[in-house]
Amino acid sequence: MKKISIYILAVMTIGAGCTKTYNDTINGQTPDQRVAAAITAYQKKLTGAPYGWILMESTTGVAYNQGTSQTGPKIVLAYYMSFTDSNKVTMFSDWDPTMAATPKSSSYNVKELTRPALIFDTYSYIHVPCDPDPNISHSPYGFGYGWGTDFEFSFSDSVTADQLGDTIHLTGNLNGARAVLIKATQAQRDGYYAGNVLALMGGALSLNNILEYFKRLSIGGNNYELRLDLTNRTVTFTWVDGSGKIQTQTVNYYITGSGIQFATPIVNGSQTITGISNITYNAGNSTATVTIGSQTGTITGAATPLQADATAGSRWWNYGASNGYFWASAYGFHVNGVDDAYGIRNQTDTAQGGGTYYYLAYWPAYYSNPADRLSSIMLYTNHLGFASYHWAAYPPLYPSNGTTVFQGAGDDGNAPTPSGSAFDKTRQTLFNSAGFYVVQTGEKSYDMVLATNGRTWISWFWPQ
Amino acid sequence: MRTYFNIFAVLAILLSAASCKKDNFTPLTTPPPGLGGDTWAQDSTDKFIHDSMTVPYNVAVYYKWLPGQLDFPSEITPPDEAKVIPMLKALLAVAYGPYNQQTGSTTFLRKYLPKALEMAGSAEYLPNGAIFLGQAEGGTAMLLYQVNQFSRLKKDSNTFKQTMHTMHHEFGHILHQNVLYPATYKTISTGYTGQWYNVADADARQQGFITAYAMSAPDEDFVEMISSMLAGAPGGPSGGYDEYEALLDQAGGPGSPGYTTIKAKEAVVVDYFARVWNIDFYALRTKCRTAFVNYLQ
Repeated sequence: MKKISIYILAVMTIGAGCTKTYNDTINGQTPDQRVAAAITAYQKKLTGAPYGWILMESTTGVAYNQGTSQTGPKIVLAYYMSFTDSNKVTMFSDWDPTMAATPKSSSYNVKELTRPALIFDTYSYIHVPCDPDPNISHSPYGFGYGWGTDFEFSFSDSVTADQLGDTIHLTGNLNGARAVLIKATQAQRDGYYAGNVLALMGGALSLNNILEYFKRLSIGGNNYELRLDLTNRTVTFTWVDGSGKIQTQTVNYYITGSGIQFATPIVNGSQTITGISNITYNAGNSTATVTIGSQTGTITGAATPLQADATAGSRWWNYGASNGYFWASAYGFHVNGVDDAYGIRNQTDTAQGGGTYYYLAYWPAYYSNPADRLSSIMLYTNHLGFASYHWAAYPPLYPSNGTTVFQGAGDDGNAPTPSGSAFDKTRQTLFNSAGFYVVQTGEKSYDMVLATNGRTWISWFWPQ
Repeated sequence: MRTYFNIFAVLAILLSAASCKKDNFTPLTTPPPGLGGDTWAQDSTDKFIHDSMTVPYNVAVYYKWLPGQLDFPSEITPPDEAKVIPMLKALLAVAYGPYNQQTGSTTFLRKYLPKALEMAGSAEYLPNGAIFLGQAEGGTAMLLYQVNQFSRLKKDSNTFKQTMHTMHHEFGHILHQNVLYPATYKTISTGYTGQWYNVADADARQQGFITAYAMSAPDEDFVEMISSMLAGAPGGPSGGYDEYEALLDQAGGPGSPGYTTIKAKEAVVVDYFARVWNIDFYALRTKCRTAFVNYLQ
């Protein structure tokens, strides 16, 4: 009986604890009312910027679909956005020239989810990089994945909506991309409508008119080599520091109405480069004039690098030899401004029921003596295989000028290389005794620039 | 003793429930805003939806992205607003119109069309390499993907047919979710497989399935029969839209096992429409084909 009384007491105590003696309103406002007020305040914040906003979005290198993720290159994108009271937003994007030149109107909403969220709820430019259709996003993350960008964001500042300043932080709800809304100035807005982004894109593309591989930027007494990767939206700066060492920094870029901006600044001693505000190509002397901060610099073509990476060639060869596989090139040689100058992609083969070009391969230590093999890889009916004709080569030499020299040994006597064919031209260029400057462009990718005049090069990737 | 204890337990629960009563309840002066953001400034798209879908068919159209409405967490994009009205007009003319003509009024669709039509701009991409083009949710909602690809141009007739195929497919699901087709249908074919996406459509037809997707389950088989017969029209361009008869040719011709099986399924579908819905399926098909051809530009 005593036991039962204790139970009853316990239950009654718990029951009594349920009585709400506190008030769940703050300043007389219920949670619902506070949510509604916060949503209104966020919306007002967005529509209250007279010249709109610049939205800068950075990915984390991860993209999600169906609850699983893929990793890939990180990118940074910039948009101009102007929000109206009627749930409409007008935007520009630096994704491609059309989106840089033509504003697009779509809708947005501010909604309470687990956090207040800004949702771009009908399709616009911001949806293109995260479109799961690979024909639209051109994402390297694979079928069904975008680049890891978002169109549904949570407001992620730890202050209330009415305390927000001119910078608003957002976090993507699906992919976790980070975005920052920065209140635009009139000049920035005007820059977008004047087509500055398109002009900057054109300026960057015009650097391709400089036929040399090495594009040398001279600014404020320093020299840099620039390498632009339009697919992955990066720019690489290479320079020689005070102690004579090569320094390389690859940064994401994005383009706004006021210039090409770097997500991370390039720092070389006392010189810091945060972006390029203007690029003008001068066809007369094949150079470009650039404005960086308050300084003017020039970009010219160079036949040789600032300093050759003397071990890059042996790193390349050894990686292939030790992994027992080949380096591949999709486009063969680029010569004097022409991609695939020899037409290697048109190569066909009549063997094994007929094959079409897949890629060019250089296989270090393919033979045990050791010797290398240069061959095209063909796509036959249902498999990949070596083309009928190929060349053997002795392992490359690495002379003291920092080049890598390939040494052709001969073709297969049973299947001689047709003279003047794309493959014949390719092997003649590769076995040129002038050798190549080898540039490592990524973890498993290299470019090789023919040392004669710097206008002939080939890009290799690791196909495994 | 035991009873005594139980009475106390019940009493205690009653007491504790009573003590949860809020004494200082604050009455709302405004309606709860829900999760917020559920209203927006209405524009011409919203007006079109109200006038052409909601009033005549009692259907709500969701074209704006609603977090969590579609499969989560998946990379799906919302539709381009510029595609919403053209897509709905096509649906009304090519998919809904023939049903109205055949049944004599909008009553049938008003009753059976699912009350929500949800749209996505892209498809939903599955890990196995397949994509969702549409879904039907238990008679309550139809999902239509790839609205951004919509086109009524003759040169895009294949895509247009796919869209109509999706709509007839999903509405077919709604119909059998209301009244199931005869159970014998499920035994006409064997060989249903989860690996349907490894089979080419032409090979599926030789095995007695009108499309590869029909091999995935009897329900899908049934509605793929409906949609394959209602979408498309004769005389399509090569590689463009093909009508049912053209697809059937790939089954192996009259007398072949594939052909015979598909024809047996066709008979069930026609009988189902007549008995359950009082609809002459072949007459409906003729109207669908006319509407389809007339709509292409």
